Amino acid sequence: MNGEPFLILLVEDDPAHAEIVRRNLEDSRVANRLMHVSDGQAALDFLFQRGEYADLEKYSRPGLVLLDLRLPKVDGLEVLRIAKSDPSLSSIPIVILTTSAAESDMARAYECQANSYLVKPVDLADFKAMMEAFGFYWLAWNKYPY
Amino acid sequence: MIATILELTYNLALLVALSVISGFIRQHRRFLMWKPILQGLLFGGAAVLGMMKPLVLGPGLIFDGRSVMLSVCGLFFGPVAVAVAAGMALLYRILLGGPGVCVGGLVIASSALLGLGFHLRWPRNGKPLTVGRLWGLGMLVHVVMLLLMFTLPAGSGVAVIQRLGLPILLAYPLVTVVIGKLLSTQEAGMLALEALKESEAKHRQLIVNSHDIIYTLTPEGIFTFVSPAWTVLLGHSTDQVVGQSFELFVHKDDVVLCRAWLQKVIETGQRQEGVEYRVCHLDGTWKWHSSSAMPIRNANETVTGFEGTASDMTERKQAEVALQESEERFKSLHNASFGGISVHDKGIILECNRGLSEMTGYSYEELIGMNGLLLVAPDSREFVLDMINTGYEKQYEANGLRKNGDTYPMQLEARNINYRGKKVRTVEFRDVSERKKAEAALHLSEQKFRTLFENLTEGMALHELVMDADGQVQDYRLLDVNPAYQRHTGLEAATALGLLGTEIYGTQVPPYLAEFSQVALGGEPYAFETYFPPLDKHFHISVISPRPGQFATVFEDITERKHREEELKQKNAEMERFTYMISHDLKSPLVTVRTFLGYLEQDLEQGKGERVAKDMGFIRDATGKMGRLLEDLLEVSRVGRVVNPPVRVRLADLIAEALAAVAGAISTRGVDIKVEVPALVLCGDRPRLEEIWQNLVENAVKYMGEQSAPRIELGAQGTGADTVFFVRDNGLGIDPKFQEKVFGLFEQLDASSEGTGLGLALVKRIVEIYEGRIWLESEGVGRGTCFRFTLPLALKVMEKNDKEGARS
Repeated sequence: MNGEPFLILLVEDDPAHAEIVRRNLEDSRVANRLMHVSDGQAALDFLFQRGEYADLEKYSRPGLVLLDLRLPKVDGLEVLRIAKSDPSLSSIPIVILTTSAAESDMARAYECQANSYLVKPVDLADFKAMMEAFGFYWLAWNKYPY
Repeated sequence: MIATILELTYNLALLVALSVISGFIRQHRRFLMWKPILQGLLFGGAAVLGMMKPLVLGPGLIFDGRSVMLSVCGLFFGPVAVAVAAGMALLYRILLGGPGVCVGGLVIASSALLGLGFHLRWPRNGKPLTVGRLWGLGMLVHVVMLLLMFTLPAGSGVAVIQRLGLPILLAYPLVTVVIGKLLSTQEAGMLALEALKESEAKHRQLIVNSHDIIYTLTPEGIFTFVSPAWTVLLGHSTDQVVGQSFELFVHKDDVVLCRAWLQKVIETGQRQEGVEYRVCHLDGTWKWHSSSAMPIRNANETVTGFEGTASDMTERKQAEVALQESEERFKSLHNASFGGISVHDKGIILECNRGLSEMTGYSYEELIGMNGLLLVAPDSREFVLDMINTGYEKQYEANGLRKNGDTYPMQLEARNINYRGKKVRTVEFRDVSERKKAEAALHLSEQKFRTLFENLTEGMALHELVMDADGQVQDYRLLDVNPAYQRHTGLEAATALGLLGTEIYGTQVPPYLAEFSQVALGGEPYAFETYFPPLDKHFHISVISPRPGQFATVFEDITERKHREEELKQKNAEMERFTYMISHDLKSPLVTVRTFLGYLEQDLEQGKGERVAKDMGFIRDATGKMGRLLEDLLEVSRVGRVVNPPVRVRLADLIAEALAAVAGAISTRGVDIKVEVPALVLCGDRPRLEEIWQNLVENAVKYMGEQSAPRIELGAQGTGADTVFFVRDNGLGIDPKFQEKVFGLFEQLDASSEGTGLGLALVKRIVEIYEGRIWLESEGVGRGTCFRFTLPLALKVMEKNDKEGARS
């Protein structure tokens, strides 16, 4: 706990959706910084602080991950599985944020130990409400050891 | 005269006493050797006693009974006795002395000799002497005696005869008769007694030695006597039997019979023969006995018991029973036989069974004495006659003739035997018309099944299990296969027949041994589908067991179907994925559009003019993406759904058109295109074929990256159906780990790309329609990509058409 709010990692291939998330978090006056990557490979590189993101000064570990499931190169579920099976990453909450409301996706996500599963609403008001609730819960009420 | 008579009577009494003593001697067997001497002494003694009290006529002249004694002694007891008696009498007479000594001695001698003479002349053989003969002897002896008186000195003989002649001749022969008769009667009684004794001994011997049991019973049936044969035949001692009722020994089922039989003996009063009953042996077994008995009666003619004999007839009874059984057996066999049996002598039937009668329609009575050849159809008679004449003893077939004129096939088998002293032939007739019919039916059915077997599209194979010494199934042997077997397995039937499963398929354990043996031993049919590695084929196998230890497999090569199923499964999975992706990929832009419309409203309300353009840009991108997606989806659905009629098109033309379609992108990026293709002609759906190159070129341009000298090469290598086409670029290249992913539906490697992720999937699908395959080669990121693919079907059809064209 150094006083500074932790970093949120947003893994989202659709730039429009990334923009929506970013705007909502801003509107909710969330103080946390948001890091956006647009494919699964980049997400893993960021989490493991390697490749492009090896610079430890520049990139810190995120305290929460917002993860889309449909991702280029490495699939969202695969990212989830890898992150949760790595001891150094497994304690980071991963919230799935996807358009898919398919039960099979939810089941698989929870099987891979997703901490939460959110479906993108098809309306700004709903999206806004959901992101506010998300902000309150995960960023205000929820407690972290870091 | 009176004195003379009295004197003689005295002598007579003496003689009677003598004869009693003589009888006593005779009865005593012990003195057998001495008996004549004793008799001689006795008679001699009597003669001496007589001489002691004689009739004295004058000094030294005496008359007494010595002549009677000696003659009777000689007559009855023979030479030894008479010699002894005569000796004694002579000795005593000499001692007395007197003028009569000489005459007295002569009288003694003559009496003894005459008695002996009679004894020798007429041997009695146990018969009593007649009165006449005795009197004759007496007369003779005493006439001789009187005649001897003339030898007396001084003529005193005449005086003696005058005085004693008459009384002597009257009395002495009479005395001789009386004594003789007395002795004779005594002798006869003794002989009778002896005969009785002898007979009794013989009888006893007979009873003791008899093999048959001799017994006596009281009227109530209590044994009063049994002979030792009982012990020999039945084991009990005679003491155990005597005093017991016969019912104790006779089988309870036979007691009534025995009682009735005894009753019959009483009623008839006659000997009754041969009652047969079972009687218990001491060891507990039952013996068959046969008995005869007659009643015993007392003086009042009432029956006081039975006497009878019994003999063991167990063996005979057993033989009888065995014979009867054998006869019955024979008879039942004879009649139970389905066939006809006859005994014939040169064709004439001597005996036959019911079967023959049933078979031929003739009655038994008609058949006996009939010529057996009449039972044979005329066309077979000569042949059958030959068989009879040659004494053939194996089976043969001929046509039979029934009484009603029907002919029928029959099987004959004959044996030459001795029957009642004749050499005859027994023949078994068997009506085989049913069998013939069945054979014909079987033949037909077999033919049918053989045809089925031969023409079955499924492969069929018959096997038998092979067991080891412990009866464990080890392997199986191929017995028969149909022509389809070879077609399905590719194995040569001729070489596989008779081989073991392990040999045919070259495996350690014969394939499916467990399943097959279960069917072959259990009989339950079983069907399964399986992949068969030795032949690299999928089979559907039905197993049935035609008989224990064997199994038949009916199998079908379902490799093709299995592949189709696999393909279908893949297609289904793809379809599932497809709908899932569509829902996602269509929803995604929708979220963008709706949300940014909301932001636009906010922008307008809040007067954030600067954000309007940006937000509208998101909306535009999203709707554009949706549009492309819809177009591509349409395209994908067209592939396989819309099939344009195949046309022939030159490869060069096809590529030129494809390039023209993407000319804009090419020129924008400034890509150098190089086309070097052989003069090939393809045949197929032209727009689809064009799409392959169009998509690949488009894809290459899209992922050109930072390349300063972008270049795309199009070409083809190889010949005919194996021709490999390629589209090579020097762009971004693809990380080897993603190389498989690129062909998947909706797969994109670059989030920023404008593609829908359908392009390469579309190409793959078209290639597959032409039975080709597509793959890519890239040495990695930044090193360019080369897509290669084949289109055998498009080229194969061409080749064929070319050949046809060349012919026409």
